[in-house]
Amino acid sequence: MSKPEFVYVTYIKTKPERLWEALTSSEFSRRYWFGTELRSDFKAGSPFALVVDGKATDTGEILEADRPRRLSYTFKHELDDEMRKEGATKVAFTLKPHGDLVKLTLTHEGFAKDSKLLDGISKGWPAILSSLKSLLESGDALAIPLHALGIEGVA
Amino acid sequence: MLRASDPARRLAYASNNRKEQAKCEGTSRMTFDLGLRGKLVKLTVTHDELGEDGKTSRDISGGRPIKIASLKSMLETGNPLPVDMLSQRKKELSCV
Repeated sequence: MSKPEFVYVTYIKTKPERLWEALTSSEFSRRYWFGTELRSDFKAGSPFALVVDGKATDTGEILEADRPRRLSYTFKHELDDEMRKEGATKVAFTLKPHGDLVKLTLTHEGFAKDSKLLDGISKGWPAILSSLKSLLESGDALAIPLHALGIEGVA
Repeated sequence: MLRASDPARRLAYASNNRKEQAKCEGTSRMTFDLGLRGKLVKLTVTHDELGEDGKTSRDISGGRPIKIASLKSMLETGNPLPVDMLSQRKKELSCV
């Protein structure tokens, strides 16, 4: 079996239920995900969209929603012309209790050859998940300027 | 052995996996790159020149993320993550 192209593992001092809430609720995501809203009912087969300032930046379909253990969805970028042509990829979050912590593993796979999207998400996910960890542990998300990530095609 | 030191920007050193089963894999390289992003620091940890048998690769994939996550918590909240690193280490060893 080939390895996913992107894997991110972190440990957060929180409860699985709260982390699930943060991964599925716009109240949380607006704070740690560069103002992004999450549009979905998070049921298998339902549509999924990331929305910024009323515009869908990424869309997909919920593949698995096993609260609060595993969430996966297809993921297709919509704004950048080149990235939109690459088609759908797959995002999966696994939440595993680890003592008083939760081990969060994100995999993102299924990219086209020489994918521009892979370069973009490789810069985006670490900032988003790092901010999520800060929010859950300290109450404050990180103030990362989006342009500082250096993602081509994203202002 | 220190390979590179550029204070506040880059630190690299050679690292030996001391576990019996991985000793034959020799010396790998740890690199920490620090880059400013607004008021934050982006830390990139790279561990490469790993042995071909994959034992060191497996060991560090189990151990590095929790140490880096704890470092972030300590710098931001003043408290490291409540993890008993010794029992964590034993757990890693027991998986060999």
